[in-house]
Amino acid sequence: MNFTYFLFFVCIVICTLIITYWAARRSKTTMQFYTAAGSLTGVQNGMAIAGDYISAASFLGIIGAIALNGYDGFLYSLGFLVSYLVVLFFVAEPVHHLGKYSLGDVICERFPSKNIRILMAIGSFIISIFYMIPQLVASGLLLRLLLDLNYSTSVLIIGSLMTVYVVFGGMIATSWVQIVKTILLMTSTFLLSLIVFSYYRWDLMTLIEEVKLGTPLGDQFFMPGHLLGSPLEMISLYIALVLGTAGLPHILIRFYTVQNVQEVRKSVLTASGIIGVFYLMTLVLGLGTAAVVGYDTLIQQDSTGNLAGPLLAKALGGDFLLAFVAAIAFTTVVAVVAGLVISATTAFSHDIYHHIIKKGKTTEKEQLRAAQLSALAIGFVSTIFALGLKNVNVTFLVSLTFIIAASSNLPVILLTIYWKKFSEAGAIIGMILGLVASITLLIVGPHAMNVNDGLFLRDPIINLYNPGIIAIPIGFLGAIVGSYLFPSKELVDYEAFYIKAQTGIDVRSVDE
Amino acid sequence: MENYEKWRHARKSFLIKVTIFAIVFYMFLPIALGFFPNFMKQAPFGVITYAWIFAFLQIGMTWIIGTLYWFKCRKLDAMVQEIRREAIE
Repeated sequence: MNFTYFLFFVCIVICTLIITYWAARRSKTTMQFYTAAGSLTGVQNGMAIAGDYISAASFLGIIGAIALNGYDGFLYSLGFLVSYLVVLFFVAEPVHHLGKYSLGDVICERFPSKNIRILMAIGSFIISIFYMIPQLVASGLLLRLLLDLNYSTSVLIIGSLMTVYVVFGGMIATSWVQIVKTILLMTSTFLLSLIVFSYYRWDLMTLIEEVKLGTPLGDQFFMPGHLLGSPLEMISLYIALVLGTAGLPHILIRFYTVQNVQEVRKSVLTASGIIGVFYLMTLVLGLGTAAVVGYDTLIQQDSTGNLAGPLLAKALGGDFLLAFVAAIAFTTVVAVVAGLVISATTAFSHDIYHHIIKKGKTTEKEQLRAAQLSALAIGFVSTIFALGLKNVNVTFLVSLTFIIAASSNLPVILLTIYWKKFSEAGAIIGMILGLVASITLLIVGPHAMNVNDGLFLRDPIINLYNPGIIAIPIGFLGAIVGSYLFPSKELVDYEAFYIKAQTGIDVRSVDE
Repeated sequence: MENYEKWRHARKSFLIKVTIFAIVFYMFLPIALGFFPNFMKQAPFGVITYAWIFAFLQIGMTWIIGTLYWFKCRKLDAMVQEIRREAIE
């Protein structure tokens, strides 16, 4: 391995371990472990949300998608960004007011039932794990290409780092690793964008002309329609993207890490500001890749285009810049997977162990120990899975998580907060139907059923890469119809619940 | 309770308006790209086509609507403080 690379990696690993050491000394209670005891400011939390959200798939994948497909590559980013409005308006504040550590807390505030908690925990767990494994697999392949490490070593390094952060430093370490990642990522993409512009003497028209020369699409590069064929596919993707974020447990539990709703709003606004600027810069980098590196070189190195960012850095600044970008990609991966480990851990140790198995009767010390052990187990098991899945294309799992989040978690969260007639049975039916529908549609769709390289070598039954447009209505309808068929027997005081969800004022406790 | 009703109404009407606007604006892009591709490929000013204009506007829209909500909430929060005082009394 090249010495420059080695230096950057050691720097980053040491820096994050110092953060973890510092965090470990402040992570003595369950409250601190799960939510950093609400100690973050809105801006810090916003940076952590951005760090949690911008995965290696965004950093590397979107630059590649733009470089290869032009306009359509950019469309993905827009949906990811606009989704924060849904989070801001309808979900973030109620989640902060109602829950304590997990998403299950939010729903159980209205329907205090064992079944709901188990289901919410399973949903969060599945989403977090399905999101984490592709990240680990991709990072293994990435580090292999960038650093000449073999696949297993790369996965083991990232797997053990994420586990160490969470087990010892809990939410505090995770948050700060994510904040550091956001700062590094934003400064480096900014720097790279400037270099791209200066490379073409700050003349946008020259850049555009060079892009047209660098890609086989020519003039058509800047026109829509190269990635998403049918209108239905495009609309379906757009719906899943905009609704997905509001159902992602690892994003939503971040709203427990701040003190009050003003800080919650500030978090979302900061995050959407950072993410928006980031996507604008990936556009510049995508164009830069098409112009400087060119389509042929890009596709030759890696047919998915995932190496666009690193190749661009190498072409512009040689080995040193490449090493820097590779190190940033590495930080990006560890920050995202650490966030997923903590969200899976919360679902397991808080919801399943503390509430269901121990019926809420565990001491503070036992809870913390249980959380740390679960984090260790989750980190270990996911790493093993990622090691085994080396040769399987698991990227489709990422789109699956967005669809599960939008069709299973989101209907239940929204209807619990906003619909008076929602019932416990409706919640259970909606959640299960949404989950089953998304998984089924994915299995019978072209990701799994594909004549060329699918799991099943045949034509897909439903030819939609993005089945959100079918799965999401099924989740919502299931929840609504279920509530009408099996209405709640005892009427919960919805008005009091709603006031608490929106304002944090607990009318019931005031009355007593 | 009167303050509560007022607050609830103010919040609801604001959210309904911006949400409808955001949905229409957001979904317009994929629908227009899917069904009126030729219109979206036209460039009203110079080289930039409608497809790009609407794409960039979505980023601007997210930021602007988010900020509007922030300022609206400042007013609403003052009402919530009032409600809280009443609830305690």
